[in-house]
Amino acid sequence: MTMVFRTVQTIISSVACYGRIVLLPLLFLSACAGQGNVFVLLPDENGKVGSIEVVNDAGRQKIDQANQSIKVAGVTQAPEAPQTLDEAQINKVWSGAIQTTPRGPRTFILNFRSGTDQLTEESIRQLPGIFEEIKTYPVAEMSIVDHTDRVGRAEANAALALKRAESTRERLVEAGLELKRVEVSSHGENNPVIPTADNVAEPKNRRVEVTIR
Amino acid sequence: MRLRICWLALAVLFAPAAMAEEDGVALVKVLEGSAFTIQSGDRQALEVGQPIFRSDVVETASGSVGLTFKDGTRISIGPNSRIELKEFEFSPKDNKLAFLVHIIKGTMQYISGVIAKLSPESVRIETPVATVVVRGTRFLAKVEGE
Repeated sequence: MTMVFRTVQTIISSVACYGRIVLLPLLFLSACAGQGNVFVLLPDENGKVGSIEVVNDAGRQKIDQANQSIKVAGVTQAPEAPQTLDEAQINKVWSGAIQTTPRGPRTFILNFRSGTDQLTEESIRQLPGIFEEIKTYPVAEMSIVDHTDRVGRAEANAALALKRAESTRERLVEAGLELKRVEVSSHGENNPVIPTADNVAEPKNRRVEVTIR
Repeated sequence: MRLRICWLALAVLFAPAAMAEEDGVALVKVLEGSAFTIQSGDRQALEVGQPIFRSDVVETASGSVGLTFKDGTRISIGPNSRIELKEFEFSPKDNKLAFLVHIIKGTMQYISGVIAKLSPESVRIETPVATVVVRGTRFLAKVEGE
C-alpha cells in the first residue's frame, strides 16, 4: 500500500515538474533535472571546460564535458551516472547564482629593465590601459605580485621580487592610481608561467603581475 | 618628537598585518536583493564592498550574492542558500594554499582562481551528501539540505 502511494506521489510530482503528461515516459530516463542534489560542470568564460569529481563513501563519479551533471540521492548512495542538462534546465535552477557572477580577474604582465627595478618603456605605456580597466570593476581590488625564476637562492630572489613589486606600486601611484585596495606580495618561484627544474634561468618567469579583480 | 617617530614606525610595521585581518578573505562584489553574513552567531545584512572572513556563514533568502576571493576564486550564491567558508589560505610563497567551502543548502556557482591553478588538491567543496574535488574551472551545485 505504502509503495503504491509512493509511486503515485512520484508520478504526481514528476508531472508537476514537467507540466505535461505526454512527457511521462521520458521521466524514467531523465527524472526531474535539477531536483535533489546536483552538480553541473560548465565551460568557463573563455570556453574552457575543466573537470570535477563527486565523491562520497558509496562511490565516485567524474565529469569533464560541458553541461554534464551528477546527481547524488543521499550520503549513503553513490553519485549517479552523468547526464547532460540543457540551458533551460540549468537556468531554471541556477539563474540567481549565475546572475550574480562577479567579473573575472584580469592580469597584466609588467617587465623590468634587466637587473633593475625600473619598468621597461613598453610596460610604462601599458599603465593607462590598467587604469581604464580598474574603472570597470565594482569595488576594484588590485594585487601586485612579483615572480622569480629558479636561479639563485630563494630568499635573495624573494627580496628582489618584493622590491620590484613595491616599486611597481610607487610607479602606479605616481601615474595617478587612486585605489585603496592594493596588496603587494611575492610568490617567489612557486607560481611560474613555465615550470622548470631548479637553477634554470627562465626570463618569462621573472615578471610582475598586476591583477585587477 | 623622537617618541612620535618611534610610534609612527611601529604603526607602519604593524599596519600590513592589521589590514590583512580587516580585509577578510573575499569581498562582496555583486548583490541582488539581500544577503546576510553570520559571524559567531551575529547576523548582519551584506553590502557591496563588504569583506567576508574565514568561518563566516553566508545566507540568502530571496536574494543572491557574488563574492571574489583574494586569489581570484569566485563563488556566487543563489536564493534560499546557506554556505560556510571553512578554510582559505593563499600564500603561494610559503606553499600554503587551501580553499574549503561547505554548502549547507541551496545553489552555488564556483569559478576557480589561482589556488586551483597552483594546487587543485587544495580545493574542496563539501556538501551533506558528497564532496566535490575540483580540477577546474567552473561548476554549479545544488544541495537540498535537511
